Amino acid sequence: MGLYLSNISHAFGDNEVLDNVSADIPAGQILCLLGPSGCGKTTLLRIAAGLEYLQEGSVRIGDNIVAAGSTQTPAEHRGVGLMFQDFALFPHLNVRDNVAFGLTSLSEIEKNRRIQEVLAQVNMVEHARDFPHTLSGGQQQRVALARALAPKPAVMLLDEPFSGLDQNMRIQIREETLGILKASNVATMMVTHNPEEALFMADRMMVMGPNGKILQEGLPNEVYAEPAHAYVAKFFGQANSVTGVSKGGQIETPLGLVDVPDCEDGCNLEVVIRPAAIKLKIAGEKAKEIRADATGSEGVPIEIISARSLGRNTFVRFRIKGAGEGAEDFHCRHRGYFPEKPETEVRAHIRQKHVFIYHSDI
Amino acid sequence: MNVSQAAATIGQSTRVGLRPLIDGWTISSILVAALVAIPIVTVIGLAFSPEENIWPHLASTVLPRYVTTTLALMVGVGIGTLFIGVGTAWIVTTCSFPGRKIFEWALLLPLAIPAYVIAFLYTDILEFAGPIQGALRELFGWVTPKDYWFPEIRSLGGAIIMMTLVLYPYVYMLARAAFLEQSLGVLEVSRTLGRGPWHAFFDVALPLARPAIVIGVSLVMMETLNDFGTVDFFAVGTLTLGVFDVWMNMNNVGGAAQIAVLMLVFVLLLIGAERFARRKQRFHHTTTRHKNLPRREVRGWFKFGAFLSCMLPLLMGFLFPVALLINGALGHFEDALGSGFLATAGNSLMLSGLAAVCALAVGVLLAYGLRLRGGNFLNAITRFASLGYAIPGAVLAIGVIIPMAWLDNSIDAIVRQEFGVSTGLILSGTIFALVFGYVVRFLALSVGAIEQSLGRITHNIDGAARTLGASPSKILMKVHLPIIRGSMLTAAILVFVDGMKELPMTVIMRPFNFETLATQVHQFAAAEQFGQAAPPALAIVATGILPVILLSLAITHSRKHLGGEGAE
Repeated sequence: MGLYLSNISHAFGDNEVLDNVSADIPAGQILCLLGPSGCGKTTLLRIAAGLEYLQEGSVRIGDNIVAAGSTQTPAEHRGVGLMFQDFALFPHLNVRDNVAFGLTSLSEIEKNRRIQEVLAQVNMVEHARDFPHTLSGGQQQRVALARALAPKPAVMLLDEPFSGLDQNMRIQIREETLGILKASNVATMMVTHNPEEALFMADRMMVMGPNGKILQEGLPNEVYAEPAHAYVAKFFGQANSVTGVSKGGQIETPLGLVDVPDCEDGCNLEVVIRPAAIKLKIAGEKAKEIRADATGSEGVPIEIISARSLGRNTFVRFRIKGAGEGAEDFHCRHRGYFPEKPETEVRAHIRQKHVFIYHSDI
Repeated sequence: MNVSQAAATIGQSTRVGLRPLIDGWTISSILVAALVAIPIVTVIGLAFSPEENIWPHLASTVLPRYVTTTLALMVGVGIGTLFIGVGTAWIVTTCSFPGRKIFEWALLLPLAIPAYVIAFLYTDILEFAGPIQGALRELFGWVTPKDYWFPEIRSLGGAIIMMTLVLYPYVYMLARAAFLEQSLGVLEVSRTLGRGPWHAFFDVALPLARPAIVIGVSLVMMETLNDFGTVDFFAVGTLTLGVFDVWMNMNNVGGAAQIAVLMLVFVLLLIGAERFARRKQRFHHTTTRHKNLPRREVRGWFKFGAFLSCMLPLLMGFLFPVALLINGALGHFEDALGSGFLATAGNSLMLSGLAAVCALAVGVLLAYGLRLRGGNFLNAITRFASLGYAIPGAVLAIGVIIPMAWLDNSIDAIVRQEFGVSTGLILSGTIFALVFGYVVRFLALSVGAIEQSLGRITHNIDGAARTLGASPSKILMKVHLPIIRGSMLTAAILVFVDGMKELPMTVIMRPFNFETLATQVHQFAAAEQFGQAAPPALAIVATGILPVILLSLAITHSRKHLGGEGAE
């Protein structure tokens, strides 16, 4: 049993939040819907769950059409599991009773067995009698997952499931959650605005733009390596973006010329340069090898605006030398330490591999 | 998508089940809201279709006096409560002096005493035959009232003082909450910018608390407009008294309705002021970080002054009257038992209990209906139906009685035509009519409390429960009601106690020979049998203390857990 969404459009008044969205999620697969805050991704989840009235398109679970036209199966009859960012545990019930809430059709013995089973799965057996407010964020998340999985739903819907957790907990919990979801062989749709989370969790990935349109769908790796749209390219990490006009199969950027092989002269182009595309080199230091795909091997002289350590990397903000105060600045992550006030000249090189070119007139 | 659009999207999508189809919940919510709105609609309708125009007559005789007296009373009580309420709130919030912790909650206690009770108690003490004037006469050898001057308690001024003494807690409560919510930051900033403590009060704290104070004074004025017992007892000719006079003595319902409509103008102005202030209040929150204001240790005469400023209202508004009541009740308790005190108390309990249960049920229905679907229509009609708290009981009584009489007559006519039997009055003049009136008048208390605590439950809880297989009704029973049961109890108690105190509607609408504690107090007081009035009055005051305790607990509680609902 999978979840199949076809041609769903949705508007709140005049404000269109979903524009012809389709997604097929077979059983056992995790689809991550990545998009900025405030795009329609949560609405799509609520439509799939039956918490929002479907306006256009259809929702199918296995062979059952649960929403299309005048058919609008209420949420309580769809058999989907839903997990919220705030976990939404029932504050007046303890962990066991929270998990038991959805197990209405089972006999008392079966119910207890199932509760034990899911609580064991999320490692919360010893907290069965605790009330939600006494639990940590990570424990609450586990209970929410157990509660949603307990009735063995065919479909799991996760709405920003990890953003309520702190950084370290988040990494641990998402790995656990991935394992549990995989073991349950459930069709999962997860929405998130965090690219790293989406890449980690997804079997397939969809990126939604701010207008409710799906901009790209594919394997996580593909979407990351070959973003189909400037918006998608910029969504993964803070990218630099410059615009210009192609000439002679190349486009001139402040950081040097970039090849644009399939372009006629005079195309308006947007060049997205990921921080990873920029290499900084301090004159006089022993040159690390500049990769073969670097454009203009001599690089461009720059002046550093700031260099702040992130531990493994240094976040460097700079501008092109001689460009003046008001000129746009660029940023990159330099591996290891980078001095805020280098004594000699610094040059920036870009690597074609992490540079993406888009027609900006389209 | 810009930010406001995004916010709108999020706001809408958090609502569960935004269905274009009408469902059972919505229909019942709309029906109930419409039912409760009938009395209010009736009174407004009467204004525009007078059967017999007595305006010219009224305007040439009593009306100018009614209006000026009402205005004078409202302004007087408004100013009195403003000074006492804001003053005591500021003192207990910012000064440190002996007894401050007790005053914090004790200053709410006068709320337990209805104005008509305190009025007869002070009259008993201060009138010509009372102990104080008697002692003065003894002392100075005076004999007749002509020998000396003594303020007449049964006067407009007396009514203003009586009502001020028991109504100031409204202003105190809201002003204190507003002062507590002001962040330490703004006051400290104003100090560092060179303002002294007095300037900090007048330039920063008071303007920030102004919306809350306006709300408090509006509520006080609504209560003043509602009052019947005090003005009747003191013979202060207000509009409320006018309604009674024209109705009961002149037997002119249309005329009473026309005066009632004039009162509605006052009410609308007050509601307008209150709503305006509530809207402004939202922008007056300076921060979400709360910290108790630093209290200044006051010394010497200031310490004594602070203590006295808090002690006087408490003494005159609660301690002294209660002492008098207990004293009077002790002497007359056996009399009271003999004259049917228990039956009367039973009537009051039953009436208020029924009203509390009904108001709670209606409140849950409306608040949950709003949560499920919202929608402008349902929202508007619910707000309209909750306007009863602002409308004086005498006016609402007219709005209840007229449609009920119409319904009774219609039923009677139909049954007579079909079966040749007269049904008489089925609804009018019954407990049903009275309970309905109570529910209309006190609905805002229950809707407000339930809506507020439901609002603190995230809509994701509903979503989670729905996907786990629970229908909206099951969610209400299994999730929402258990979570909000504390607030429901509070709401029920507030309605119950207001029902115990209610006088004007009860006097007009009660069944023949049906007495409640309030009507009994009123009758004994009117007959100057103050001792007889004491036991029922004490019973009302004793129940009235309950919500005061709840309120003070709720205020302390909400300060401790700003997260609110949830924890068991």
